[in-house]
Amino acid sequence: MKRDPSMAPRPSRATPFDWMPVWLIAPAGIIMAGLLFYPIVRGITLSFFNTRLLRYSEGQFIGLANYVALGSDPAFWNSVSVTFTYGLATMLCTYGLGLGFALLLNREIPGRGFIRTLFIMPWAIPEVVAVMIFVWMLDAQYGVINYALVEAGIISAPAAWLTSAGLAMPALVLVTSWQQFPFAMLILLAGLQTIPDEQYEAAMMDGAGVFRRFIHVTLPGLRAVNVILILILILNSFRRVTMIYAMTGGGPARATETLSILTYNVAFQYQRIGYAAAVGAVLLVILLCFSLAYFFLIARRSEAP
Amino acid sequence: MRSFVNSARTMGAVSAAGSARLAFLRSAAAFAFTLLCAGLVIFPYYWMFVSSLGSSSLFEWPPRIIPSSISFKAYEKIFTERAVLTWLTNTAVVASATSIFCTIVAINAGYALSRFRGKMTGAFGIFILFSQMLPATLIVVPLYVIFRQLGLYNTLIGLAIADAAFILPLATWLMKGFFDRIPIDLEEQAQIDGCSRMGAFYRVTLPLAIPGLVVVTAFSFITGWDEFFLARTLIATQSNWVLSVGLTSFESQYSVAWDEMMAASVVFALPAAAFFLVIQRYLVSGLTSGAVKG
Repeated sequence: MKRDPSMAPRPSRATPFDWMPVWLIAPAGIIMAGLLFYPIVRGITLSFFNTRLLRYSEGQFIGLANYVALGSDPAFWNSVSVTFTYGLATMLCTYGLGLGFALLLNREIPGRGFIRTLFIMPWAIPEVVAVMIFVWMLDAQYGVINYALVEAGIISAPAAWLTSAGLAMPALVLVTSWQQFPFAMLILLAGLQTIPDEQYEAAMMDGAGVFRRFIHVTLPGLRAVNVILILILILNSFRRVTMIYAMTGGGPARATETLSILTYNVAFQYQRIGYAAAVGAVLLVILLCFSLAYFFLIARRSEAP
Repeated sequence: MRSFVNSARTMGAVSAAGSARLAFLRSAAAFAFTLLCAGLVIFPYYWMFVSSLGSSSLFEWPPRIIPSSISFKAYEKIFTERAVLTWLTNTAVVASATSIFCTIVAINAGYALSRFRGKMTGAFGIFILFSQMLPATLIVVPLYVIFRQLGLYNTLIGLAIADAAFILPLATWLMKGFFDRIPIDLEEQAQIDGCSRMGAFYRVTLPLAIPGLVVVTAFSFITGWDEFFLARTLIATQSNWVLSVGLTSFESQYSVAWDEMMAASVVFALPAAAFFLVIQRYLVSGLTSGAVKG
């Protein structure tokens, strides 16, 4: 029998079943199945029951009643729109900052490694700490951001960012994109480095200015990276909990209550875990649709030469 | 290269000395702008430090960008008047347990993903990717019930197990990436020399994967250290809190001790952030290998 040196030993028809990968995978498989997938299955099951948190054993099967109730629940529809608003806004800001800084760093500048590290630092900070710093900087009385905005003439008086319904979402988007842009920046930086210099030179020979070079060389060169990065950014913001929960808890007046946060609040504030599970299941379906698009794009890319 | 071409072209049009000066001014302006952006980006870090040191000048309007005096009173207070030391210990215990547990499991699973191509490892790979798409809140609500039934609720070990389960998919994927870079010939040679397959893995490949192992251990430690959401849900009593949860308790209904909050933030964030910046390079190449390709 000839062995292909690039491949690991694998069972052929003559040899008995190879148990080694089974033993290697088993611990991870059992933990993930037990603590990630079993709860999901149980959550989906719960969504057909009217279970309450404190009287867990008394829950009764009510079929699709939870889902029917969702349809006429203004809090649910509010959360759907908040989720998409937050997803879109954070994606745009994170991507914008990431691309802008990637372009700045994709040049020969002195101390590039050090400056790159400075730009990555927000990503290194724990999410809760990022939230606390921004809550302090946005403080209605002594916040330094309020001070800067008043001094710059953008607002006339310090604003209560986190307690006014219209301002909580921008504040949340600000923290999120500050903390998350380095991820986008690094991916875009890697993408920029795959664009050959000759394309820029050719564009310059044709007399293209900075702006036209960006539109006709940089953006097309980043296309493959862009699609996947944008999907990841949206998916992440749909799933995000820590930041929103620590900053606003969904408030004020549900202005920042995404579907993730609504699931949590319905379960632990209102104790209705059956109903909460139904909200979570809807989010799961939304996430799966986006994920399928993601896998489809990845698969199509790896087929391309 | 690009700027060279740029200046070479303009040189033909304008006088040589003038265009060289123009190119220099332009790159100097770009550099200054980059520095300004970097300054704005790290300002929150600076503000955290300054606020933790300026207990007297904290509540002033306009805010003092450069503190008038420096005091370590807030640091003293959080260790004497608040349970920060207990929370710090709990955090360290949970993060250590999480990372040890996670690394051991991820080494084996990552090796299997890297070396065995078959239906089962393929399915496991999809399982891992799929787990990254699940909404955390839909997992946490039933998990809370399950933990209560199993008696894991409100225990540090329970929290560490939950943390590990959430980190495991990424840790395994990272570990697979590191094993992929170690040539298989060495293992095959060891097997010819009489090593068992497991022996070849543990004695030959694993020592070569130590850098990757360190990255995965550090990654799971940091993630366990930073974690807030599971800790908030699965831990009830204050003496079992971790620092991320304790931090939010500085915020009361009417007032916040911002100097103490920022001092605790420094204590909490600094070890994790420093660690993260060291391993960040390896993380990015591991996490983005799928997204950025040629």
